[in-house]
This record gives sequence, C-alpha cells and structure tokens, in this order.
Amino acid sequence: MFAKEFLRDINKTSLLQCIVFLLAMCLFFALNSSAFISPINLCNILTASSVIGLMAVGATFVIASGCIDLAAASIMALSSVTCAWAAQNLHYDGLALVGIAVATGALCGLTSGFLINFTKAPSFIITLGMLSISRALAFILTGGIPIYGLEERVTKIAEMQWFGLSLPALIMLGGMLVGYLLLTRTRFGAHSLLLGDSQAASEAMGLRVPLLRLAIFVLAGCFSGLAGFIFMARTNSGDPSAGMNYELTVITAVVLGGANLFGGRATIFGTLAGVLCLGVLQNGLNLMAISTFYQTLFIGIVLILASLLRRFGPNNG
Amino acid sequence: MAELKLRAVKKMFGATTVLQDISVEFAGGTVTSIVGDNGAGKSTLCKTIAGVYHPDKGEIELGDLKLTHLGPHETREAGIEMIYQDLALAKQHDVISNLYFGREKTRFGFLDQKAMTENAQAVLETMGTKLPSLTKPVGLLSGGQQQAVAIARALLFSPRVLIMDEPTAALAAREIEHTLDLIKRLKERGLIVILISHRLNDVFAVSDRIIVLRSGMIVADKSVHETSMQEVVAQIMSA
Amino acid sequence: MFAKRALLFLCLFAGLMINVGAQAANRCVFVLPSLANPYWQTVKLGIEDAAKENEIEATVLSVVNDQAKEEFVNLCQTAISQNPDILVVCTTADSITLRCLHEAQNHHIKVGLLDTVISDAAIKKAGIKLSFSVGTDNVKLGEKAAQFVVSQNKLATPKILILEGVIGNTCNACRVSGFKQELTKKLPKAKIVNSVSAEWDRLKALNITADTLNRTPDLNFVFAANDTMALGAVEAIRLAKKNNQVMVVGVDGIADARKAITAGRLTASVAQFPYLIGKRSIELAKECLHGQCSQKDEKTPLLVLTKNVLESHRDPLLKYVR
Repeated sequence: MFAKEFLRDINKTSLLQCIVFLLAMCLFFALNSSAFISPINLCNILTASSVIGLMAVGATFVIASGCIDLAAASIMALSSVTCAWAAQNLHYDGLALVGIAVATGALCGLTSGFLINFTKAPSFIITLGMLSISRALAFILTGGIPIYGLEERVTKIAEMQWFGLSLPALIMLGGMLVGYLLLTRTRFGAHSLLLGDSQAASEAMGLRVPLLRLAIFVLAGCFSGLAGFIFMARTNSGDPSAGMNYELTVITAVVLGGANLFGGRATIFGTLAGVLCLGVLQNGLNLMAISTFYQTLFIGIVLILASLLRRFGPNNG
Repeated sequence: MAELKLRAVKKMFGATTVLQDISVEFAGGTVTSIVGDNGAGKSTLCKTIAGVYHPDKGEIELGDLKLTHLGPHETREAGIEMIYQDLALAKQHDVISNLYFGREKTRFGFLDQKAMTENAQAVLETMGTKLPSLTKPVGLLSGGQQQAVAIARALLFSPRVLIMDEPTAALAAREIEHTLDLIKRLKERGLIVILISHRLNDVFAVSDRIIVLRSGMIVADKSVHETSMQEVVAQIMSA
Repeated sequence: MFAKRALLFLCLFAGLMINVGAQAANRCVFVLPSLANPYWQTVKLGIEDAAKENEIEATVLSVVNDQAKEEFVNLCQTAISQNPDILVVCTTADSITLRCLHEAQNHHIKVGLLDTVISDAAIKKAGIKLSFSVGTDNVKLGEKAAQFVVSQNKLATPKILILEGVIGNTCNACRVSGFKQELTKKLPKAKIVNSVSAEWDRLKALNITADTLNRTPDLNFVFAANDTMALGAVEAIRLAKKNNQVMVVGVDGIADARKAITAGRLTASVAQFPYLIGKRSIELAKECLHGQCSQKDEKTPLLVLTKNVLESHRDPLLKYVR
C-alpha cells in the first residue's frame, strides 16, 4: 500500500534527492568504518533517532500547515519531567506513564494552538513564548535538578526488544506509521496540507481553520510528549534541561526531507528520510571518531550539500 | 423554486459603511450581474452571501434557510458556491485535492482517493474541460485551466447558487467564450447565477438582470432588455 | 486624574531610589551563569548561608543561558548600576569578564572572581586589580580523574572514551586537557578511542557512548566532563549490558551522580565543592571589605567520590557535598 504513494511523494517533493543523499552517506560511512553496516549499528541509529524522530512527526503536520513549532523540544523536556515525577511519586508504569507524558504534551500543544488562534500572531512568536514557558515550568517543577534513578520497571522499557529493534525505535516507527496514515489518508491530514498551501483559500472553502490548527498543535504536543517519555526511559531521568536546541534539529530533519518550510508540502517518508540522514551522519562521525570541530564542519557541509542536491531532479521547488 | 433573499443588509468595516440597506431577491434560472466602480461593494456583497463576512444588520435567506450567521462551511453545505477572483486554489496541490477542497470523500473514515479520482474525471468530462494532468500541482496549470478547476469545484456538488467574481478578467478571448457558454448552460439547469464583472460586453451577453452598485447602495436594478450599455455606464459613473 | 497618578508614581519611584541609595554597607552582588543547573544552585546556597552568617547582603543575579555572552554583559551592567561594595562574577568568556570588571573598577567597586579561569597576564593587561579569586582548579580536576582511571586500570592498553562539554567552554577545555596530559604521563599506552563533544547533553552522551561501544566493544573507561553526560553514558552501557566491563568517571559529584555511585551504576565522580566556593567567596569578600584583600587565586579542594568514600562517611569534606 506504500509503494504507489511513495512514488507519488518522490514526484511531488525532493524526497528522492534526500534518499539518494542518505544512501550516499551510508555508502561513505560503510567504506570508512567496518562497524557501520552491522545490523546492531543500524538498529542503534534508529534508536538514537527515536526522540528526534517522534518530534519530527508532529513537526511535519505543523510545517505542513504553514506554522512553525519552536516549543517541541521544551515540551519534550517538560513531559519527561512530569512523566519521571509520576513514575517516582505515583509509582505509575507502562501505559499510564505514556498517558501522563502525552497528556502533558497535548496540554502544551493545546495552549500554543489556542494562543495562535486567539492572538492571530505568527506561530513563530507564540511557540517561542511557549518554548520559554514550558522549559521554565520544567525547571520550576524540579527546582532545576533532574529527577534521576527511576525504578527498574521504568528503565526496562528502553531495554525491551522485538525483532532486534529496541522499543524506542519501534515506537518511533509506529509514530511514523500513524503520522503517515493521518497525513495521507484522513481529511485531517489533507486539510493540514491545504491550510499550509493557502490559508485564505481554506477559509473560503469552509475549512474550520482555528479548530484545525488547534488539532494540529495538540497532535504535535502529543508526539513531543511521547518523545519525552522515550527520553525518560532511555536516560533514566526526567531532565528539565533535556533537548536544548533540539527544536532546530527537528525542523532541519523535516525540511531536509523535502517539506516546504512555508507550508503546503510535506511527507512522512521525507521526514523519516530526513531524520535518518541526521542520525546516520551523527552515528557515522562517532564511529569514525572524528573530533567535534570537524563534526560541526561536516554537519554544515552536509546540510548545504543536501540543499544543493535539491536543485536537480523532478522538482525544483 | 428556491429564492435567495437579502433584506436590509448592512455591512461595516470599522467605521466605514461598505453596504447599506441592501434588499434584493434572486430567482432560480436567472443570471444576475452586479456592476459598479471599484469599491462600490460588489465583492463584499458576494462574500457576505457566501458567509465569508457576516452582515451587521439585516437577513439573508435561501428558501427557508436563514444564512445570516452561517460561515463558508455551512453556506457551501446549503448549496452556495462562490468562485473567487483569485480562484482560492491550493497551488501546490493537485487537481483532485482542489476539486474536493474541504469536501473530501471518505470511506470508513479514510480518504477514498479512488472514488474521488473517478468522479473528478467524469465531472471534468461532462464540463468539456481538458486538463493535462490531474496529479500536477494546480499552480503549474495555465490561468484558464486554473479557472476551469475552480469552476469544476464549484459545480461538483450541484449547487443552487453560483457566485462568480470577475470570472473573465484574466482569460483569453476563446476562454471567455467558453465560460460564457457555461454560464448559460447553468442558467438552463435552474441555478441562481450571480456575476460580478467589469466587462460590460460579457455582462450583456449572458445576463437577464443587471444591478448597479454605488457606494454600497443599489442605484439601479433592471432587466437587461430595459436598459442599455450607455445607461449602465452612466449609472456607474454618475456622482 | 492622570497627573495625580503620575505624581504618586514619581513619589514612589523617588522613594525607592532613596531607599536603594541608603542601604547598609557591605553589599555584595554576584553574577553567575544559569541557575538552571544544580552546580550553580549549590554555589548560591553556599553564598546565601555564608552571607547570613557573616552579615553581608548578597544579591545573586544569573543569566538564563550561559552561552549568551551579550546577556552576561547586560547583567553585569545591571549589577554595576546597583553600586555594590564588591562585585563577584563568574563567566566562561574571558574577554567579556574583563570588560565588565574594568567597568566596575571604574565605578570604584571591588571585584572578585568566582570559578573563572583567566590568565594573570590577561588580567594585568586589562589593568584590573583583583580582590580575590576562588574556584575549582579544572586542570587538576582532569588530572585527578586520570589518576583514578590509572589506579583502577589492570590492562596494558585500556581503551578510553572522553565525552567533552560544549566546545569553547574554558572549564571543559581545562578538564579534558588535564585528563589527557595526566593520562599520557602515567599511562602512555592508554588508547583514547574518541574524544568528542556531547554538549553537556544527556541524550547525546548516551548516543555517542552507544556508537562507540559498537565500534569498540572492548571499551574500558569513559571520562565525561560533567555528571549529566556521565549518567547518559551509564545508561548506554547498561543497555549494552557491559556494566562490568566499562567504568564511568564523571565530574561534579551532583546528587544524581552520588545516587548512581551508591547504586553501583557510576564508578566515580570527581567532586568539586560549589558550596565551598560560594561560602569562601563571601568570607574572602568580607576580609577584603575589612581591608585585607587576599589577591590570591584560591582553589577549593577536590574529592574523588566512589562507593567506598560515600559509604564510609569518613572524609571531612563530605559534609560540604550537597
């Protein structure tokens, strides 16, 4: 069921260039590091990308609808804090913790969405405010000190494996699948893209724009919350300073995957490819033991190369 | 037959009165043109009917249904379609997405892409519209083709009222001919057609009735046989 | 009506100004980096406790983001405008510290440094007369970590991963260079398999450690330039089920790290004493205000926290571990 739409996405966006680029990077790293191509390492890349990946699914909808969500990473940190707090003080586990994290994220997303609708201000400004507020809430709730040392049954979540894939990686892939179905198969997804394409047309055609935008931000908040849960399980802590500057990484991943930063065009395949690009790059550089100075240089070069590649191929947008 | 009625409609933007005391009725199977100078309130009047704006005073009714406070979503449901001057298309989306803009077909809650594609092809065929590709972004089509998409979208769900804002302004001569033919056919199907246009030639070619707006007021409302181009021009211009 | 209100406001404002001007002597203003960090919160605690004890009025200002250099300058100017007797700053960016200190000196405010690494030459060149300086010796801290690694090592060529903090941060640079120098001196055959920045970030440290374990399955030690990264590395090692093979040494001795050490997850952490830094800075400030400025660069002690040290409760420094 994916094949046809995959081809369509390749036609519509610069997804193809992103995939070519991803494969080229994989080839480069495989030639330079024997450990790269091993199945364990490939699973590691997926696991390492899980937090960014989940946030990127939410960001795909936000960017598709012509908005920007700068608060994603702060909401992730706040969710990791509330979730760790619930694990430690209420002794919740499993799904109840997921519920807490997702609810925290949804609430933050709801606030962002409501404020954007209410003030009619650009999402950039409102979510920038929410970035500070949710980060501050995380600091206030914890007094600035991470909640650390969770019970065994919580940290076990990150250790679980199926088919050789870790649970965080599976949750990320599951999130991608849900995002894919929502974006391509439901009116909600279609309307998100239409809204990003032309808000005026959407209003004229009777889309309920404020409600739609609210739903989009709630969804993005849910994904950030889920990312916070994964963060908590993986690092065994609720850290108020978690994921500083991750919001930019998330946006980079989505745009790298061919989405239009100004809305109207975005695909989950692209987002997955973008996330993997960044994950592979970081992993490969770590495997090659390249010093940080050069890592930073490489990341910059790769971003620009990826943008250059977009000038070629079926879509010049 | 369903009638569209406006009673004492008044619309302000801030302190400026854009429409004052507009009372008018539109009957099915007629083409009514609204003409007037720039800023006379033509587009505002049409957008108020379409639910984009809400009147500050007065009532709008379609048959038994009160439209006064309904938004574009509900007025479209009620069968009022408007073709905007800028066409209101999603330029990065393909033809099918635009045809079903806001009214996507679903099956078990999921989009039914297959049904939409088949239906769209059938509708475009009956309209006699030829488009190079249904999967190309609409922004890459020519102006006339884009307009065809906007018209097809308006007709897709058999509306009762069709409002067209400057449909011929950006078209080549042959395309104008085609659009005017279409308007005549729609009239025969019993639709209420409301046309905004600057081009009086086109107006006289298709209209049954001409309404002249000036400063938000109706200054003339006559059957096309009772008036002439000179008279209409005079009514538009006179201070 | 408006005039009346404005007048009232002006009166209030004037009253406030007079109040500020008339405050008691021995006022000390601190400009610290982000308080959203357990380390600086402990420094603040030390300052406040000692200030109460020594009857000094201490105000602690802090920047929200310690990488925002401009914000530091603004805050420093705010501090100077409060006209304290003594201004104590901590910053990671040398040139900016000096500019701020120079300006304070021009306003006849005594200046002290807190946990800042600046060369004497640079201070002299800027024409600054320091009243005192107190803080951790980060080079020595790195050395201590290396010594600990050497003491635990049983192999001929142990493999070591170094997780650095944000590049450009002086503390980080000192810790890492101290560690590397001492290691090459004591154990020239040790192999540093990767030395890379995890930007003080827990998840990045986790991912880098996981990748390194993948490439170098026989890794023996991880040295992380702070505890947050060390704790991230610990989780990666736990997930790889290599707890018994890889030892992790962190820096700071924050509460979470101590918890992890007692639980046997983290091997050791080289503790600094932020509480002592705060306490000593007030004591030194008091001495200076009484005419005895030490002008010395005082270094607070360091302590390698291990499970043994923590459980034996014997070391007298432990009471300052917060």
